[in-house]
Amino acid sequence: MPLTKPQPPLTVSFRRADIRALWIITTAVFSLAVGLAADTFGAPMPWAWGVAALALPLPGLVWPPWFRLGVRVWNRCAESGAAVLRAYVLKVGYYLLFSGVGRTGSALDLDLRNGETSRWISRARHEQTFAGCNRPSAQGGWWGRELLASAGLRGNAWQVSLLPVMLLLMLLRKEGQESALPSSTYTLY
Amino acid sequence: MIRVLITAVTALLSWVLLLPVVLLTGAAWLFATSVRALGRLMEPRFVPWTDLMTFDQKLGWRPRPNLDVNYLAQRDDVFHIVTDQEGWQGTRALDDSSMVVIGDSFAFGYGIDTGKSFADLNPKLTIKGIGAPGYSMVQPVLLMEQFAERLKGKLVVWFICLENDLEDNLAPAMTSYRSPFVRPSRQHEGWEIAQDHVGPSPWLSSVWGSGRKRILPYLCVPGPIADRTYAGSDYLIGRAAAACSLVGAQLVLMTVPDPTQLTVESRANLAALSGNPDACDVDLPDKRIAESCKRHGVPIIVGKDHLSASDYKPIEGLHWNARGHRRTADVLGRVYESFRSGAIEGVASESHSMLAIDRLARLDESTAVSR
Repeated sequence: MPLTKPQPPLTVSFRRADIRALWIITTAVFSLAVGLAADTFGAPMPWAWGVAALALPLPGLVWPPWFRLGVRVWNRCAESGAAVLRAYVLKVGYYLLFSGVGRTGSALDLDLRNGETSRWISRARHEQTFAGCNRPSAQGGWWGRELLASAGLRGNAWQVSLLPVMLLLMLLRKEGQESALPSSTYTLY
Repeated sequence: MIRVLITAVTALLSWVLLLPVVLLTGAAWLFATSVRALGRLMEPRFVPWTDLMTFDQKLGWRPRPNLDVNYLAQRDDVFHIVTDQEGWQGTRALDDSSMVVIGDSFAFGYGIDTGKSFADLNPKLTIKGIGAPGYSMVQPVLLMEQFAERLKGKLVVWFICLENDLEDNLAPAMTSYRSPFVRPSRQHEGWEIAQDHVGPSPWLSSVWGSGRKRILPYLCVPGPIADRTYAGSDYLIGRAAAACSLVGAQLVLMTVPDPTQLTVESRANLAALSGNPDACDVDLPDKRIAESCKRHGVPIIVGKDHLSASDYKPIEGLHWNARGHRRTADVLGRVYESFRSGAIEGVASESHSMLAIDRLARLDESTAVSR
C-alpha cells in the first residue's frame, strides 16, 4: 500500500491536468519574455518572435514524453534550487539574525536567581495558566497566526523578525513527512 | 536602547540579505501555485474514495453500483470509473462476458480510466473485471463461490498481486476495515475462512500503523513466515479450484509481480530487506504458488515472465500503466485462445503442473521474445 507524501510547495505533480497547466503557463510566459526581449533589443516585428515562441510545446505532439519531461525539469530545478536557498536562509537566520536578536535579553533562565520566585506551576493552576494556549497549528490553523499572536504580546516584538525566515523555510521545505496512511485510497466506506 | 538598535540593525540586514531569496522563491511559488490552480480548473471534478465504496457483509467492502464518476488515485491522477448494476467495473454484464477476471485493484482497473484497462483493449474478447482495491485472495474465492453458477463454462482468470495479497490473506482487517481472512481451522485440520468479525464498525486492533512494512521480502526466503503464508494461499487456491470445477468453469491463475521483483537493483534491495540475502529468491512466491497450482490442477501464468518494470507507474509504483494494461490484455487474449482450443483444459488435467506453466508460457513466446 503506497504511503502519502505531500507535494512540496514549489513542485508540480504529474497529474495530466497539472502537466497541461504547466505547459500553458510556461508557453505563455516564454512567449511574452521572448517578445519583450525582441522588443528590447530592437528586433523588427517583436510580436513574431513571441508567436514563434509558442512552438515550445510542439515537440510533445511528436514525442509525448516531452510534456512529462517539462514537469520533471521544473521539479528537479525547484528541488535543487530549494536545497541551496534553504541552506542560505538557515545560515543567515542562524548566524546573523539570531545572534543579533539574541541581544534583546532573551535567556533560558535555567538558574533561579536571588529574589526570583519559582516558576513551577502547580497542577491546580495548570488549566488556568495554559488554557489559552490552544495552539492554532495543532488545530490545522496557519502557524503564522500563532507566531503573530505571540509577537503581539508585550516584550515579544522581536519575534516579528523571524517571520520572513519562517515563511521562506516553509516554502522551501523538502517533501513532507510521510503520513501513516493514505488519506483516500483505502478509506473505503 | 543599544540592544534594541543592534537588534533592529541585524534584523534589517538579515532581511536585506534574504530579499533575493524572497524574490526567487516568490516567483517559483507563484508559478507552481498558478500551475496548480489552472490544473484544478481544467481537471474534472472527482469524488472522495468513500463515495466509491460501500460496506458488504460478506466481502468487507465493494464498489457501489451504477457509478459514473471520477476519483483521485493516491500519488497519481484523476481517473474515470463506471460500474455496472452490481458494482463491478465497466458496463458489460458478467453474464455477457466470455472471460471473467477476478482479483484486487488490478482486476478493478485501478489507476486507469474505465474503457482503457486490459478488460477493454481486445475487441475480440469480452472481459468482465470483478474486484476492488484492497481485496486479498479471500474475497475473490468468496466471489467465485457466490457467482459459481454464473461462471459456468467461462474462463476465469484470477489475478494475485504478490505485493500484498499473500499477506493480506491472513489479516483480519485492512487498516480499520474488517475483512474476511484465512486461519488454521479451530474445528478441524486445515484452514478456514473467518468472516464472523466482518462488520461496518472500525477494527481497532489494526496492525497498520506508523512504519508498517509489507512482508514480501520475507516471502522470498524459506522460513516459518513464508510457510504459513503459502499454506494459507494454498488453501484458497484449492477452494477456488473446487468452486470452478464444480460448475465447469476453467480457472487460470495469473501472478502480478511487484515492481521490486523486476529490476536487478530492486531485487538486490529486496534481498537486503529479507534479512537473509543469500537465501533470498525473488522467484520464490511464484514457485510456491505454482506448487499449489500443480497440487490443485490450476494452470498458472507467471506475470514476471510477461511484465517488466516499465509496465508499472513510475511514481505511484504499484499498479500498471497503459503499457502494462496492453501487455496484460495481450496475455489474456492468448490464454483465451488456448482456452477455446482446449489446450488449457488438457494441461489442467495433467498431473505435472509445471507442464501447464510451460505450455502457457509457450503461448506467449512471441511476447517474451519481443521483450
